[in-house]
Amino acid sequence: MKESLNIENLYVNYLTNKGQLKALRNINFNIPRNSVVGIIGESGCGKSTIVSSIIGLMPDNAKIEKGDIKLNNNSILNLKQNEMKKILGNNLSVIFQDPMTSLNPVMSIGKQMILSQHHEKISKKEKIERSLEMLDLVGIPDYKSRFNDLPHQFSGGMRQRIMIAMAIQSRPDLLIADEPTTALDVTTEVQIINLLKNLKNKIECSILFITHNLNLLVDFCDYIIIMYAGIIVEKGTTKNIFLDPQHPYTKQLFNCDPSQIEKKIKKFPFIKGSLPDLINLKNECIFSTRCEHPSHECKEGLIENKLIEFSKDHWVDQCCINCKE
Amino acid sequence: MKKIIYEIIKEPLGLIGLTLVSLVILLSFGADLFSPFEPSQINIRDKLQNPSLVHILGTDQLGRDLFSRVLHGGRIALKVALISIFISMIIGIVVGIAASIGKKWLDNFLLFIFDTIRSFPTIMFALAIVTLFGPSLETIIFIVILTQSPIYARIVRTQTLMVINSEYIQAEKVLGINFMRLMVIHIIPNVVGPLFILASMDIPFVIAIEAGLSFLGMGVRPPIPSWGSILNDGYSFIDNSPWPLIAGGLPLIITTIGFTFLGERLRDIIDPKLKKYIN
Amino acid sequence: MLSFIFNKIFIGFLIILASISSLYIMIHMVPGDPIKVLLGPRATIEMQEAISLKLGLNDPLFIQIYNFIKNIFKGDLGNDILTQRPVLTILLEQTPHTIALVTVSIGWAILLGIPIGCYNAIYQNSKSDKISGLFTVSFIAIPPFVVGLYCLLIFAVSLKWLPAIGVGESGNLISKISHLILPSIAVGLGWVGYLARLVRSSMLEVFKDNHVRTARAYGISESKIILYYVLRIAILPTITLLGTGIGILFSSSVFAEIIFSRPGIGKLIYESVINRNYPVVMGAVLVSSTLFVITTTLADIINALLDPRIKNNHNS
Repeated sequence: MKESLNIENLYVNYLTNKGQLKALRNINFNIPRNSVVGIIGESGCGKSTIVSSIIGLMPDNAKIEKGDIKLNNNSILNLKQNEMKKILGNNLSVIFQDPMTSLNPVMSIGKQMILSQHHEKISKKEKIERSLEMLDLVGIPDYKSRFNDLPHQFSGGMRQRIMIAMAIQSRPDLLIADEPTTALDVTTEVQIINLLKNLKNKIECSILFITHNLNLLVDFCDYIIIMYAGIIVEKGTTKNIFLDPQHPYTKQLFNCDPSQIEKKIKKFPFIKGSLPDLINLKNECIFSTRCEHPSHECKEGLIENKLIEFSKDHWVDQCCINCKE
Repeated sequence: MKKIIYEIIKEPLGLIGLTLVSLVILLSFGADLFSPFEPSQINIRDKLQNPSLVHILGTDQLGRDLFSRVLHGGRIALKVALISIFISMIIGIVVGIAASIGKKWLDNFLLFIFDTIRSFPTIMFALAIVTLFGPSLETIIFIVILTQSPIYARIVRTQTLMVINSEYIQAEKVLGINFMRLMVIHIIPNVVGPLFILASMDIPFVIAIEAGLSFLGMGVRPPIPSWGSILNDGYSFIDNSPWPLIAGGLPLIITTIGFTFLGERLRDIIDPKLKKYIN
Repeated sequence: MLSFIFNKIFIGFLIILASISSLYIMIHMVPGDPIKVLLGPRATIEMQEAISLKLGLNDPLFIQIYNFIKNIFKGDLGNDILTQRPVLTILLEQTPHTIALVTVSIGWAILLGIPIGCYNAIYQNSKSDKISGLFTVSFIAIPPFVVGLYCLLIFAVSLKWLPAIGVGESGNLISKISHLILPSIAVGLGWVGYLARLVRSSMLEVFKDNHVRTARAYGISESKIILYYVLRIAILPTITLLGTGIGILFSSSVFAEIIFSRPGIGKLIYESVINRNYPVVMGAVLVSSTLFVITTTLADIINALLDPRIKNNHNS
């Protein structure tokens, strides 16, 4: 089986009191086995919705309108809750953004690590051994004596390592990391990414890595997906995207990265405008409100927002592929 | 205003609450209008009768019409509640702000007094006061004010402290904010909400205290009809007729349920708005 | 941890002292001469002065309070003015009845209130949640003494299912229990409501927490999540509420004891204040303050044990 995860034609809406918010539209991508796929986009672009759709923990007002999600070629989208629970923490693991609140504050980390192994039919002693092994692997100092410590006795970076230890314990096929370093300081961020790189080689799993930090993406991921306002605007191998970005949004993202700026400038570059209204979607190209040079076709919506293949392993939204940028 | 009422009656809690409260207020303030008899009108021949077309709730041991007594009792209950809660609120605001703005020792001292008062059984307190001043409506109001003001003071203190310590205010302090502006723009809006919710939850509690004390004979003197004293009559004559007891208890149940339901619904509505405002 | 406990106990002591002292002061402002009550209107001046001396009523207030506290530690709480029986004995007789009543009432609250609250939190906004919500709020709203009176009317006087008066024969457990049922419902019903509401809202708060999301993301079963993650944390405010609610429980138990003619501290306070029976009043207040302080301190300590975050906040 070539791919760990397939997402096909996914459409997700949220029902709000102002109407249907079309959070995800026509999402298509695959995660090949043992690869790292990164998703980047600003707040509100839908990255977290993708995560919650995959793991099946969506708020009550969310509705999956169309599409399918397959894990190891098996559809998981419409699984019943108890079926999904067999997969979560087993074939599929998640690390969330905020390590400070993701662990149960009144339970020792050891107990939590044992509890999260509930899928395994092994003895408690074996579970403890496994947990200790994991804690060692992720680099927790004094892991044996600290097994019964409470979460608040660890720093943020340490807690995130514990979360990673918990996530890889079950040797998942896919590990989803939803902005795992956003809440950490820069030094810790680097350490965590290096840890993930090491672990991936040892454990052999695919990783879906969500972030809004471009550098991390380029450094760590094999494939990059760029999202904007609920759709994918460009996707492909890291090399293709980095060396030859096509979509104006991608180009602007690269421009705004301070580490890319070579000569002195007075003001930081930024992308003007803001996200469009996803409740009352207009016909126009979704990016036209922020594009530097929107053409007549963009504003009239004459070209549908859809990904087409630009070159091998490089897909771009067809409206902007013809842009005179 | 219409929007608020619509919000309230959306849920059964609010609908029932509002209906009952309106009923109680209407009947109590219009007691004179709706009472078929004088509440103190004695007619020994008709004593302890079951409900009939003439006496809707029956009569008590002195032949007085229970329905009329109940209506007038409502007036007393509401009067006690409104006056004592209003005064408690004023005292609570003053003391609460003093505790939060003043020196630390003052704050600790006031908190200590509050805890001590709370450790007294209310009954104890009430009995002591009544033996001091004699049983009367004013005594009850005094007792309620004494026991309830600390609660209001505490809420005011908590809310004020929260505002004063919030980062927003720290920023303004650096810019040299003046006291009046602090009070009016920041503290008062934050305090009014919880205070209002507390008061609306307090009304049924205060009415219950008044009824309870009157039941024990510590409240209004006969022949003034308080729901508590009607209950007392009912208790004494429980073997002869259940109706005085039923008549005394029913308005209490309706009033306390009504105000509590309404208060809960109001809290459900105001609270999220408060949280939004604070954030 | 120890310093935390000692701190609490010390403040508790201060509160007890404060309540006794203020009570003493209050009582002495009350008009009415206990001596005349004791000896009747034909007492001579010499007899009055003799009793006055014996009870120490002529000394300045401070000395009286000081003597009183000194005597407490000796185990001497004075004698009942009317019957001359030692107050300590009277208290030892009456307190157990009140404690039994309060315990069974809280028992109702815990056995009914917590499961109802739990159930309603899990099935939030369902029909059963809304309906039982109306009931639980009603339980809180209706004054306990009205509940007691109606229970008396319906179950004791009309239906004659349960006894109306007293504590039952000593040594007969069934009798004692049947005499406890109605009064404990009167005192406990409001608490069933309080606990149900509190457990429900605390659980709903915890449901939203991130660590519950983590547990779900690991496929941990709902029942394990509720037991280990949610309840463990949501139960904390309940303990605090129970601890601080003893004062309210007392007031309700006074009414229950009066309505059902049960002996107990509540009724004792009521009668002795009316009779100006100072030593008994002081003793009873001592007992109630002490019980209040003990229960609130215990609640705080249990809270700290279960939630290590509180302990750490105190230390840092």
